[in-house]
Amino acid sequence: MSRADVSFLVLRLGFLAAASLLAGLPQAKAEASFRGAPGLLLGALVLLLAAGALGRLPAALLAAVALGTCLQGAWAGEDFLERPARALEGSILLGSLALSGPGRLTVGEAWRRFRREP
Amino acid sequence: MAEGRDRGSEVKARAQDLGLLLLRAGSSLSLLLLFAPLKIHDAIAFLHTGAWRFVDFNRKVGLPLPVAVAFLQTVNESLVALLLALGVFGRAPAALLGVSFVAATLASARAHEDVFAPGAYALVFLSLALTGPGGVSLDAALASWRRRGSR
Repeated sequence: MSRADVSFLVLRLGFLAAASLLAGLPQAKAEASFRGAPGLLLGALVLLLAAGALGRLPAALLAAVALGTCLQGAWAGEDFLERPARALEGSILLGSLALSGPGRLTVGEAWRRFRREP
Repeated sequence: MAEGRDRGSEVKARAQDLGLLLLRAGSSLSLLLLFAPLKIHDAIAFLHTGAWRFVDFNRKVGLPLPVAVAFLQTVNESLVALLLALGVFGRAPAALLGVSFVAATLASARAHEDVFAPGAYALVFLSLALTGPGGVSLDAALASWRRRGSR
């Protein structure tokens, strides 16, 4: 286990905490993309990312969603320092996780270790 | 077989370095380009007018030395962010930014303002303080240049 693994775990869990808090906000509840099937899919991806499951895929998909949100906001003429800037920050964080992978502190790795050393 | 494993871990390390580069450069350049220009402009205006909303905010949340804190944060979001983007002075710029954004998050919470933006920056910078700038940085380039020079 290296410092980088700890750092990636902090980022993944931090993202989970932020996403959970954000999802509870009234503005988020009012948004169509956070309700129904798209909301469930996003929630599942955030959980998979936090668990470190499916390698780089959850981070890559969430990074694409965040980048799309940023571009959509900028295109619609929103104040860039508000929602688009935050979405851009999110896409940078998620993009870096997609590039570097989840690290070794993942649920899958813990399970493999448990199977090896019962 | 062993060669293949070596190659695999090399590719993994390279991908990790690129991930750290994106995180480092992306977060610090977003600070530098989106928030620093306004703060620098307001800081210069403060020297002439004596008015700065950031100083008023610092006073409101009860931070000590509100003017000094405002200038320090302006330096952090411009110069220190640039050092982090370049990857010089190891973990120090990331640690400095991390601590300042933890303070910013607490101040925002105290003022009942948005804590997500400063909180996200604090999370990213503290993580970077843990990992260091990675292999694609000016620090790493200087180290390899020195190694080559000493041979």
